[in-house]
Formats: sequence, C-alpha cells, structure tokens
Amino acid sequence: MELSKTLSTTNAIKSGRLTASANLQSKISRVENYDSAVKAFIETYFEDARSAAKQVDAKIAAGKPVGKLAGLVVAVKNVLAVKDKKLTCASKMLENYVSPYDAAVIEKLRAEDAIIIGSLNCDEFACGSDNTKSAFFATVNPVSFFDNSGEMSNLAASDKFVPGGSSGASASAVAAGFCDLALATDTGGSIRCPAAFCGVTGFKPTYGTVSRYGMADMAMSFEQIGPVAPDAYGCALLLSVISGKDYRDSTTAKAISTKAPDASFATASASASSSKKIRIGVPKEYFEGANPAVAKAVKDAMGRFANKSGCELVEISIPAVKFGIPAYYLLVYSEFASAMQKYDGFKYGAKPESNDELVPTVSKVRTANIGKECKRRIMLGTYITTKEHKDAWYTKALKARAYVRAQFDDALEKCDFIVGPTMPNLPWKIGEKASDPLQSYLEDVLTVPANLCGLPAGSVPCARIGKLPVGLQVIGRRGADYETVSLMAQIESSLVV
Amino acid sequence: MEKKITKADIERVASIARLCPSQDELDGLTADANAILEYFSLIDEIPDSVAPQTYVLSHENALRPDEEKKPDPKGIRRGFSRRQDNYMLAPKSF
Repeated sequence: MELSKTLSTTNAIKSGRLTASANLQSKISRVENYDSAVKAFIETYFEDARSAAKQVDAKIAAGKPVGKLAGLVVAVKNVLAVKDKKLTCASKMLENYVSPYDAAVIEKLRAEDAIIIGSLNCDEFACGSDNTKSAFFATVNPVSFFDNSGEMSNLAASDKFVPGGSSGASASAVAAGFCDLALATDTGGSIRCPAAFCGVTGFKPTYGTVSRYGMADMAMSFEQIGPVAPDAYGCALLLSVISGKDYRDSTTAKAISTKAPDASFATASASASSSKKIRIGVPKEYFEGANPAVAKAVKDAMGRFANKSGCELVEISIPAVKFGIPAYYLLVYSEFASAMQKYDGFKYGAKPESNDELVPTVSKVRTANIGKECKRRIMLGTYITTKEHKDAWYTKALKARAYVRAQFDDALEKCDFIVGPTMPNLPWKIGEKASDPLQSYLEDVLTVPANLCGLPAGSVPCARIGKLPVGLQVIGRRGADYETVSLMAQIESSLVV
Repeated sequence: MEKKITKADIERVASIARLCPSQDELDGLTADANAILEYFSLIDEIPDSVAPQTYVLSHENALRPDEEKKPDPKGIRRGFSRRQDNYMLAPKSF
C-alpha cells in the first residue's frame, strides 16, 4: 500500500533525510507564491516558525527524542487562541484582539514539536458553510486554480469556487500545500464540508474528545476541534495529539482516548469486529436530495470498497434526518446568542467610540462590528429563548435532538458505521448562494446529525466530477474515533481519485 | 400556535440582544426570520412525549488539581479597549 503523505514526511524528518527547516521553507514558498490567490491566512508566523523548526532540527541532530509531530507544519483556524497572536474569529469585533494564552490544543501541538505557521480565515465566528462570511476576505478553493495535473498553475482562473465552511481556509491550506496538517472546528459540518469541497480528509471527533479550552465558542454543545490532513493517517496522528481529558473544559469526557496510528491502523476497523463482517449502513435519506452525480459517485466508491474489503453494505432508513436542520439551527441560534453576549467592546471587542451611557454604547459597538449572518443568528436565538417562545421553539428543538439521536443510535446498533455523501452538492461559485440564508443552511443537512448526536464523523475524497472533488462521509459509534478514522483510511486506500 | 414574527417582535429582540439595526435591516431580518421559522416548524411533528436533550454525553465533572493558578494579568489587561492603570474603563451605567 502507498505510504501516507503525512507518514512519509514525518519519517523523512525523524530519519534526518529532510530537515524541519527545509520542510517549513517549502511551505513558506508555496504560501508566498499562491496565498495571494487562495487567501487562506489571516496572519503568518514565519519567524516564530523558523525558530521552532531550528529547535526541532537541533534535537534531531543531537539524537534527542522528538515529539509525534516533529517538524510537521500545522496551520490553525483563527478561532483558537495562540499566545501573543491575533485571535480575530474573522470578525471586525476582534480584529485587533491579541490572545494572552495558548489554547489547550496549541499547548499540545507545541509539546509534540509541531511547527505552527499561522492562523487561518473562516466564516465570522464560524457561522457559515462557504467561507464568504469572513469579515476580512473570502478564501478561494484551491481547486479553482488546479490544472489537469493537480498543480496550481492557473491563478487567473475566472471561475472561483468556495472552499466550504466554516473552516474553509483550513482545508484550502492543506489542499494548496501551505501546511502538512491543519486544525479546524466542526459545529455542524465545518470540518467535513470544506474537506469534501477541497478534496482533502477531515475528521470531527466524538463530542468531548478534544478540549475546547482556548477556543472561541460558537455553539458549545455541538462543536469539536478536529484535524484536516491530506489523508486519514494525518487525521489520526493529529487527533492522537489533541485528544484527552482536560480539567479546564468540563465537557471533555474521561472514557474517550485516541491512540496514535500504528502498524494495524488501516485494518483496525476490521479487527475491532473480527468475529464478523463489518456492516456499513447506507441511509437512503442521504441520497434522496443529493445532486445525482454526487450520489452516484459516492455509491460507486462504496461499491468498489465493499468489493475489495468484503464489508457488507446494508441499505437503511433514518427518517429523522429531515429534522436535523431545524433542530440544529434552532439550538445553535440559542447557544450562539448566549456565547456572543460577551462581545461588548470592553473586555473583548472593538473599542467603543461613544461616551453615551452603557446600553447605547454596547449596542452601537455590536451593531457596527458584528456581521449580517451572526446578527441574524443572535436575533433568532434571542427570540426563541424568550419566555413566551421558549417552549414552542427551544424546548421543541431539544426534543427533536433526542428524536434524531435515538434513530442514529438505533442504526448504529445494527451497523458498525454509516456512510453517505458528505455534502449533497458540489462546491458552488463564490457569491452564488449569498442571498438566501435558508438555502445555505440546507447544504448542511448531511453533516449536522453527527453534531446533534455527538458522533465521530469524517470525510474522505472519493471522486472528482470535472475538477470538483466529492467527499464520502463516514459516521461511527460514539467513542469509536480510532475505528472511524481507520475505516476512512481503508476506503482511501481502496480508491484512486 | 401562531408563530408569525412581526417587525415589532424583531425590534424588541434587537433591544434585548443589544443591537440597533436600521429600518431596512429590520425589514430584511423580519422576512428572513419568518421564512426560516416557517421551514423549521417541521419540528412540530416531533411527539411531545419525547424528553428534551441538552447534552449528548453524560459527564463526570472535570476537576482540576487543588492548586492555585494565577492568570497573567498583563496579557488580559492588554485586551481591554480602554483602561487606566490596572482598571478597565466602562461608560456610566446609572
């Protein structure tokens, strides 16, 4: 089997065939050549990164032990705190805010000798599915610039496609070769959607697997930090570093641990249920509303994988999928409205310019510095949690969440995994879906169930239609993160995209 | 239940949410809110007998070791938009 790109790089660095500094420089050169077109980075940390790379090279030269991510270049979504660097959440509200500390995941990256190259754009406060809602600029899907050999030679391309969202720049940075790995967050598909749209691999862990300490929260009962990588091995490696219980985030779960990928990684799913064939559920609802070409590509890929692996594909039905969008968005609105209250211009946020009294001052600062989609979510979240509307909307959405979860849990009792398309459609052109928020929300129909249910889920590239990638989604049982990424690795290795 | 949202509802909500949208924005938000909630009323099909679910996992409390940790006040103060010595400046509230 072909060696994973991430594994090849890490082996080359640890064996001394490639220095961390040379690996970093190759990434910096690509950023300098291509990021003016892709627009992935909000801030680059080249000098700090060069210094960190030299330290890794010195350790290796001296024969000292190095961490699991030694010399690998990692870029991070700009909702994660990096000490003394801007934490903007792609919002004017935090445009000049500098983080006084490292997020838990950043501490872990540093402890394992990763090289942090910079912070990445996203939709404002992670609210969006196409990265056009950043207050600063829209990131462009690198596939827009690819020629037939997959090189970025056509920077003047007139058709510019969205990279997905909200972590669009995390997937773009990996696809464009600006970094070896990227960190992103997934609240309703924000890792899996961009991974699918940019033709890379992304994984949302089981809720509670990764500490959210130092992450600017969007909807705290849904979101997880997770990896984006060129392949499933890279996702598994980064996940093994960032996962684990943390007393600073009371929602991290004790029972979930994710080991580093080992020699049996690509067969772990099979060994997890060695006494019987792996059963993979294919819900018909995941294909009914999808673009027919996307649906066919995913079905063909699963058929090829089943033939090679001997896994059993079973058609199943999860009718509650249709409640996913309303349940998810109603609860996100509520949690987001609450999370955004702290941005009042004093401790966090843009400097108030007026000398009015408190309420008018705060209102002016928030109105001037929060973008349209975020305002819409705050307003709707406030509306549905007022005393007179709470039962009709908020409580009902909590019931819908339980209803969706029960059906997914039932399906995962009968099957080891669920698969389907990651996104119902191909990437669209920038600006194409700007006007109708509901149409934009509906793109998340296949990704939000995993967040509603707290399940681990990832996206692997399975085909291209023209030059546009198609993502195949794998959803696993709660806590079976390693097995889920392992199955993604097996699917990846069985397909030639 | 009547769920139609009026412009007056949106104005009231804006005030609670500490936002002051323009008249045009209020019109747009009212139209968006009605279109979105009309679609979302799909959840009325969920049986009332289902118990609401806030979290997906049952957690044990994550307790930190019983030792004092002091945050870095310099880094935190740097984030204040207006300050005087070690204090954050805020507008008068009464």
